[in-house]
Amino acid sequence: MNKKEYELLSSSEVTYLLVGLLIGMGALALPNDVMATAKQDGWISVLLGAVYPLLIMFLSVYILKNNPGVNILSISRNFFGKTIGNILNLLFAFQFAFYCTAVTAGCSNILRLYVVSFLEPIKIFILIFVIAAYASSRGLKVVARVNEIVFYLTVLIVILPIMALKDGSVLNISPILGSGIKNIILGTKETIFAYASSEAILLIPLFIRDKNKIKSSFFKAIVYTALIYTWITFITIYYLGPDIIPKSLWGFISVTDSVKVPVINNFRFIFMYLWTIIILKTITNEYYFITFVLSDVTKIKRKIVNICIFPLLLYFTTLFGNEAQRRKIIAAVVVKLTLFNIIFIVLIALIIFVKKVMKDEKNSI
Amino acid sequence: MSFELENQVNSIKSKIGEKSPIVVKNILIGSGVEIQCAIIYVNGIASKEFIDRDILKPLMIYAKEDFNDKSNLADYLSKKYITSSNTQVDSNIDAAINSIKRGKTVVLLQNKSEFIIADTSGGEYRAISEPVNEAAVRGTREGFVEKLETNVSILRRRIKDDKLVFENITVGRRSQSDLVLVYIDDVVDKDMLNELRKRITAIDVDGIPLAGYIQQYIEDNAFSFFPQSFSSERPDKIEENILEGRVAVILDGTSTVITVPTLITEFFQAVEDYSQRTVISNFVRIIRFIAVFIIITAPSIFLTMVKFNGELIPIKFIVPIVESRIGIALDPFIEILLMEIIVEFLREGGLRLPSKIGQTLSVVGGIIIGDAALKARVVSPATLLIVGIVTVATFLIPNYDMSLTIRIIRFPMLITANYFGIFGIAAAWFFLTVHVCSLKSLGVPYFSIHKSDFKDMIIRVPLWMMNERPVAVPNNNKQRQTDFRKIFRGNEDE
Repeated sequence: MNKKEYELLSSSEVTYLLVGLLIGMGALALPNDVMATAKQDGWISVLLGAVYPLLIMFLSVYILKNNPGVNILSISRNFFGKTIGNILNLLFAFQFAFYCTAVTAGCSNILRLYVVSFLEPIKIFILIFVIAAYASSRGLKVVARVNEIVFYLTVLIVILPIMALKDGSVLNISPILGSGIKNIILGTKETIFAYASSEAILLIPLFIRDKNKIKSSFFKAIVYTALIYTWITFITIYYLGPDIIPKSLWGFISVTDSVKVPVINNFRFIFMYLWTIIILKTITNEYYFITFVLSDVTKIKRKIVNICIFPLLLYFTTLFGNEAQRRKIIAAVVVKLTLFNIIFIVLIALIIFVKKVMKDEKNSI
Repeated sequence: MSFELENQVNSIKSKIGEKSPIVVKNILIGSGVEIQCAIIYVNGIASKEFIDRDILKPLMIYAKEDFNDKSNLADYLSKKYITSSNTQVDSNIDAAINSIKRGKTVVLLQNKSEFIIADTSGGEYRAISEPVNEAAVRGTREGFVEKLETNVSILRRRIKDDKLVFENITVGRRSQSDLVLVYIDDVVDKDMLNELRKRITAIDVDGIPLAGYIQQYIEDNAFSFFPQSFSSERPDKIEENILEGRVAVILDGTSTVITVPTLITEFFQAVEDYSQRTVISNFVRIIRFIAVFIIITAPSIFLTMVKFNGELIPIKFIVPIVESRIGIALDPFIEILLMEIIVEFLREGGLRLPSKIGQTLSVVGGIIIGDAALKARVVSPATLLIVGIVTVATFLIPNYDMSLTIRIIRFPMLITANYFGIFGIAAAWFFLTVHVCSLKSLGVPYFSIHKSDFKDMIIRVPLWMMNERPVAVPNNNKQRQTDFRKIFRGNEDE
C-alpha cells in the first residue's frame, strides 16, 4: 500500500472525471440547441461536436508530454512571465467560474419549473454551493471518485428513456442528412457549451498516476460523452420530432415522460431527483477547478479560497435571471470563452513546438 | 541486589500494589537442609486448583532430595517437579510482575536470582455461546467471549496457517489490558499494519474497557456518522476478514473483535450471504440495499409528496391520503418526525429492558400507541404506514453499528426535505456520497470502486469465481483460490 498512490487518480478515475466535467446541465437542452440549425439531423451535429474535445485532447496530450511534471499554469507563467502568465491563468479559470454559475442558475431554473416551485432561487444557490464547497474541500481524489459513481447513475438514467423508442417515429428523424451538411456542421457550434470544460485536464497532470494513459482515458471519456449526448439528442428528436422540441425548454425531460412507473404519477420526479445529483457533480467539478487555479495563482491555501469564492459565486449566479436571459448570456459568452481557450492552448502548444524545433536545430548543429 | 526471599517478595508486592489481593505462601522444599520458597499469585485470577495440583503438591510432597548442591535450581525444579504444562524460568522482576497480574504464579527461591513462572491463569469466565446480537441461521454457533486466550484459541483453531500471527500489545496506563493483533503475515499489507500498530501503541489513556473505545481512538474521522472499523462477535466473520488481508484486534475483557481496514460494503454483507446459495444471497442483498434506500429516503419522499408535490400522487392514492389527513392539526413534517422519534424511544427503551418487559414495551408501544395516535388524530394512517415500513426495514441491516448510522441519517434527510423538497433529498444524497468517498479507514478509502470487486459488492457471484482477494483492501497476496472447479467441470463453468 503506497499512501501516495492512494491520493493519485487511476486512469479510470481520470476518464470518469473528464466525463463528469463534460456531461452536465447542457445535456438537457442540447436537443433544443442543435435543432435550431440542424433540424432532424441534430444528433449528427452532436456527434460531430466531439471534434472540439478531441482537439483539446490532442493539444493537451502534446503539451503534457513535452512538459512532464508541470501543469498549464506553470507553463504559462514560464512562457509569458509571472504577471501576464497569471492573468492568462485567471482568464483560463474564468471559464470554470462561468460554467459553475451558469449551471447553478440553470439548475435552479429547471428545478423550480418542475419540482420545487415553492423555493426561492437564492436558497437553491446556497444549498448547491454549500455542497459544492464541501465536496471541493475534500480534494481531487474524492471529486473523481464521486464522478465515477455519478457516471454509473448517468448511464442508468440516460438509458431508461429507451422506452420512448416504441412511442417515437422514424419519420421524426428522416430524411437523414436532409437538413444539409452545412447546417449540420453549423449545428456543432451549439454543442460547445455541452462539450466544454475538458481543458481542466491540463491542470492536473501531477495528480494522475499513470501519465502514459492520459490519452486513452481522455479518448474514452470523449467517446462515452459523445455516445451519451448523441443518444440523448437522437431519442429526443425521435420521440418529439423537430417541430415540438423548440416548444419545450429542455427537450430531453419530455422524453423521460415516456417512462411509466407505478405509484408515482410521472417519472419526471425521479428523473429530476437523479439529474440534480448529476448537476451537483458538475458544479462540484467546476468549483474545485476554480479553487485550484485561484489557489495556485494567489498562493493562498485552497481551503481558504474554497470559502472565499462562495459569496462571489453566489452573487454572480443571481445575475443570470430567468432561463431565456441565462441562455442569451451563455450564447454570448461561450463562443468567446472557447475562442480564448483554443487560442491559449494552441499558443502554448505552438511555443512548445517552436522551442522544441529550435532545440533540435541547436543539437543538430 | 539481595536475593533474600523476603526482600524479593516485598519488592514484588510493592510493585504490584500493596493492597492487591496477592497471596504469598512460604514453603520449604527438599530433604536435608530445606530450601525456603515462596509462591505468589493474585487471588481470583489464578486457579487455586492448578496451583495446588501442579506446584504445591509436587514441590512439597514429591521433592524429597537435597537441592543445596544444584546450581540451576529453578530450571531443575521446573523440569522435574512442576507439572504445569507452561512454565518458564526468568530473572527479570518486571516479567514476574507482569505474569502475576495475568493470573500466573511465581515461585521464588531463597537466595536465587532466578524464579519460576507457571501458567495457572484461571478464574471464572463466560462459556462460549452463540452471539445474541448477531444471530445467523446458517453460521457458526460459537461467539467470542471476554477471555482473550479463548478468543485467540478460537481463531487459531479456525486458521491453522503457519503464517497466522498473534502480536501482543499492552494498552491502557492503568488497566494495562492485553490486546492482540491477528493477521496473516504474507497476506497483510505491511504499511497498513504498521500504521495500525503505530496508532494502537500511541493510545495513552487510563483504560480501555471495551473494543468500541479502540475503534474511536484509532479512527480518522471522529465526527462522521459512519463506523470506520468493523466489529463483530462472530468468529466466522472475523476469520473471513483476516483471510481477506485485514487485521483483527482482540482486546482482553470484551467479546467484540474489530477488523481494519474497513470498507462500507462490509456492513451490508451478512455471514449467510456466503453460506447460502448464490441466487438466494443475491436476492437478499438486493432487498437489503432497497431497505437502506427506504430507511433513508422513504419518509422524506413521502413528506415532499404530501407537502409540496401533491401532483405526483396518482389520483387513486390521493383521495385516501387526503381523507386520512382531514382533521390532523400537525404539519406533515412534525407528524413524521414525531412518529420517528417515538419509534426511536421504543427501540432505545426496549434495548435496556429485560427481554420479558421488552416485549410488553413493544406491544404497548407499537400497537397501543400507534392505534391511539391514529384515533387521537395526531398522525395519519399513511404516515404510520411509512414509519412502520422504515422501522421494519432497519432490521435488515446485518451490522448493528451501521443500522444505527442509517437510522440517524434519515433525520437530517427529513429536515432537508422539509425545507428544500426533492431537491434537498437529492442534495443530501450527493452530500452523503461525497462524505462516504472522503472517509478513510487506516488510510484506505472507505468506499472505492474497483471492477474486480464488483463480484462481491451489490451482488455476490458464485464463491468459486472469487479467485482474488478484494482489491479495495490492500494486501500482498492477491490470489486466494484457483480455478479448482475446472478439474471436474472442465470448461462448463462459464
